[in-house]
Amino acid sequence: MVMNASELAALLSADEPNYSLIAREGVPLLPHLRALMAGRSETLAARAASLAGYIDDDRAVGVLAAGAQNRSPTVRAAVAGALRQLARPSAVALLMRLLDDSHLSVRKFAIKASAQQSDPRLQTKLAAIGARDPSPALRQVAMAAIGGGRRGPGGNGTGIA
Amino acid sequence: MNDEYFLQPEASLGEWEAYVPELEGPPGPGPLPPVPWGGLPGPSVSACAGLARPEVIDRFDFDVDRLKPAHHVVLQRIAACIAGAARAGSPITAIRIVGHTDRVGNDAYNNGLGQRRASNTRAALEVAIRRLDPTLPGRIAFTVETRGERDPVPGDRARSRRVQIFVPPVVARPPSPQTGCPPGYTTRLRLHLKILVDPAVPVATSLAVMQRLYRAAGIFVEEGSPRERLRLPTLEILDVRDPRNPADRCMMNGISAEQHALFRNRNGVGPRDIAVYFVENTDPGLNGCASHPPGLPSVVISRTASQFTLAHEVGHVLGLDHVRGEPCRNRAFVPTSLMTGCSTSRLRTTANLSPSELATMRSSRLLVPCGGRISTWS
Repeated sequence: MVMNASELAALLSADEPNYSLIAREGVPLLPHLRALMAGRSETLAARAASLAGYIDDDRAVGVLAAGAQNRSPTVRAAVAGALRQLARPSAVALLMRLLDDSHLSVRKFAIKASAQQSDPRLQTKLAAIGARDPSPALRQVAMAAIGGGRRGPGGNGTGIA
Repeated sequence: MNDEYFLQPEASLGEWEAYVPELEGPPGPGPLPPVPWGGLPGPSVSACAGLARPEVIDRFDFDVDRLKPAHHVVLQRIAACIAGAARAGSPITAIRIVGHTDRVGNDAYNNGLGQRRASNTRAALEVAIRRLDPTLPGRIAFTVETRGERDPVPGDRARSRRVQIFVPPVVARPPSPQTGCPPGYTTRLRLHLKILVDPAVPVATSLAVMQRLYRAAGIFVEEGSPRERLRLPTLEILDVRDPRNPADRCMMNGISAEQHALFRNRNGVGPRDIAVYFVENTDPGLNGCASHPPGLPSVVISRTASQFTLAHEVGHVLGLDHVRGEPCRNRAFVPTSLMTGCSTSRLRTTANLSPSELATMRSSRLLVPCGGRISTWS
């Protein structure tokens, strides 16, 4: 039986949600995730974004694009973090936008997610961040992301080490 | 590694009283000065350091004796102080509560109104204390008085409508950093609290809850060093994904580079101590995470974690696993174990640890026998 919104919220409220397990429900969760991302709970909205990243489908990217409009940088950072895992070509435009986010944490996770992609537009953008981001740490993360190229499982994926 | 991920401790020494207000306030300008070990009051008593003498809850609505939400916040702070002092072996045994009114109305009526405000404050304070330690209110002598309209705040009617709560100064016990515990304990566990982002639940509350729960195992939980504020903006939302497989998170065998970077900020943390880092959030989102590299016991607590999360995550460090088979998707389900796999925000004050969990905790090599000497202090 498909999980309802209340059950999903209860599972996401756990201290340490088991995202992989919940995500087995797949695409039918996406409407609930979209609703949670637009809801009043910042915590649940961020976790909904994290969970969307575990659903390997272009429609999950669409849900995350909506979440990227959230006023909370914590939610937007979760959107960017989710895209590290949901490394689909359809996410490139969204990543380009997140790389310009005003909040440092959002940019940090967007850089890490971009390192999972091979799109030349992202590589150009990362080079620009590596040269000009106000945060020295993020400049370093960006340069490491470029140097690492596309990282699969086994890669560091962080640029911080 | 970029220097932004590390803090260099300042060389100057500070006084406990001097940094507590900064700690409780908005993010400060950087690291708090270290304090030499041996000069601190008992760690739980620190919850009392920011209290005014007396504490005042004011701006009661006109002719109303009911407390406002903001009043309860103050009472929770007082309760944390009282519970912390009791656990540190410096119990507060008497509290005086005095109600006041503005000058509108006659003396007799205002005396009654002041009395009701004071009585309601006492009742609410008892509830707040009981949440942290169910037995504690019975050990405190409450005195409830009214001054009616006799002591107004000059020129301010709203602030005249108030209740004063007189909490006597806590006589801090020497911290006995090397040996010994308060009566009733067999071992001690040291935490070092490092704050990147202030948690929604006050640190003192989480600590008091943990101290109460761990007492069942005979474990005396203490702060091993002054709380430290870390300015590490890049790590405020911490990557806890396994670098080899981002789908896995918070894995003991998959520590992220950011966790490694954060956990290297260990000013004052001994090898058998646990460093606790308060952050905004993790990616993916968790209330807390207890994975750490070998030899660097650490936990991360997110800003919106519950009052039980600190005790829960440290429980993981001491070897505890989640309770299995709970119906977490049923929102009506109320777990009873601290180590629930559901949300710890569902726990009630009766949350506990099973005998086998207590035994596991007691066997942790991080515990120091009360009679033993801590020789590993750095």
